[in-house]
Amino acid sequence: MSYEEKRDEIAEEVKPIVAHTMPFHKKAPAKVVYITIVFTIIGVLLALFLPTHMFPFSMSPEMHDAVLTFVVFTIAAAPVAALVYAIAAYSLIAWRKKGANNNEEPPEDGAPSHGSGLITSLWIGTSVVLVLFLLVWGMAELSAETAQQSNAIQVNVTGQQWMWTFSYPGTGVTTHNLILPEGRQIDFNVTSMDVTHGFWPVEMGVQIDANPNVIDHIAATTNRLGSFDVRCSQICGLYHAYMQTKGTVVTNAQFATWLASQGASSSSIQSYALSGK
Amino acid sequence: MKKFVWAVVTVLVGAVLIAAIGLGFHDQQYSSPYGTEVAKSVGMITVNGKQYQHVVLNLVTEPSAQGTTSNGQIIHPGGNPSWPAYAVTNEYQIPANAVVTVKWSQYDSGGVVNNPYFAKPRGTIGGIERVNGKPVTGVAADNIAHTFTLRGEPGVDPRFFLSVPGPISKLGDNAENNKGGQLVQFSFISGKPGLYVWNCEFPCGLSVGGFGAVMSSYGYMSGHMHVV
Repeated sequence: MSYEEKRDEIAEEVKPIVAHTMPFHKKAPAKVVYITIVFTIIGVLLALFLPTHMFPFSMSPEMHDAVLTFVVFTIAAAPVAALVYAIAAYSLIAWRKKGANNNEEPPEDGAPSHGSGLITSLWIGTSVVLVLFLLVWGMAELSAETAQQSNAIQVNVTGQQWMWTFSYPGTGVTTHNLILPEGRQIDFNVTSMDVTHGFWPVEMGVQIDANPNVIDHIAATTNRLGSFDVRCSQICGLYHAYMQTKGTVVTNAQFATWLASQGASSSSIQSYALSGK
Repeated sequence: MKKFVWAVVTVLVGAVLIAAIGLGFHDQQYSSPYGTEVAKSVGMITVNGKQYQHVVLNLVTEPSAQGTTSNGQIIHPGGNPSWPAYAVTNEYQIPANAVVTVKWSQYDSGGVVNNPYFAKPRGTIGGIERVNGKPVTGVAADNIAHTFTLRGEPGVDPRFFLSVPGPISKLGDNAENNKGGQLVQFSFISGKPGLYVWNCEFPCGLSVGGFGAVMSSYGYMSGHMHVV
């Protein structure tokens, strides 16, 4: 049986079904396109203006990049989501069957569509392009975050129920409030004394799990003076909600003074804070 | 109409179920029958050239929550007898911006604190505590029974932080209520008004790195400090 004969046979089979199913509206595709455009514009506007009200202020390039990624990904996803919502909205309104008023049963599903190579190609092609774009963008951002700077300093972060402690290797200083110098890349070495916690210096735009017996690494570069929140992002027990503290970004001179006030020797401060070792 | 009624009934049943679960969790927040212990005012005191109101607060830690304090009060009526507890209540009240002297009678056994940061007093006046009258800047990390660690709820005076370790009972592993006690005394300047939480940072519970059981239950090793 040839393709055409098979197609005609299927068409004959579905004819009585189609007769009792949803009517096809000739203007439906155009209307769906119009709705898609409107929804896309709404999505793009939300992506452009909502993040400034949603996200905490940025204290690092990593936070800036995180917000930018959110905006770009939302804009990329807006037409796709808009198309889905447009079809759903049109279908719900145009093919709504008021069964309760005329006692009619809702119609059967229509026959499945076959044979549109254009739509299939478009669908696969668009999906591939979008996914590749997201992948490349994500890899580039990750690469930028893990790039080592010459003046980076190390901070050891320890989570335990339900506290964070921070130590500055080589200085003998350990603290409950995180103090960081401005304009430096901070390499956080993160671990846990008990269960899994999540180290999340909010305005720094990075987050990583703190696992027992494992040291994980994450870096952020401070680019603004001021205070920020440090929270636990993994539900870790009774007082998880209280596992939060404050961090402060100070100038390099203030940072050195603070280390000295905590008992660090001048040689260790020179080695650690000023030379970036 | 019938469908509408069923829909309403379903929503109501769901709401009642969720409310019951919420109330169940809320009931887990233990309230001591002894209410809130208010720190006693003992006059004024000068610290670093500045005058403060001076109050005294008494704390007790006992190895058995179902035992009694030296006053004969049952610490945790219906509580687990093998769990330690702060006594006689877990709710305390102190004035804001005042010097608070805490007299802590510690009767429990202990061991090694898993983070040496909590083996030293943090946030006390002079960075010290007194153990049986002797000023010290820390307790050996393998000789700790409990800590009294205090901080504000999220948004309440985030710079305030206090943590003081208490050494194990003189009876060691044979600790008993009200015997072999260590008297720990320390002073701190209280923070801004608000609700603060305190808890122990020594892993004195079971499982989960010592933070299960008693450490994961309200009313034994945790509570509130009302700063007014």
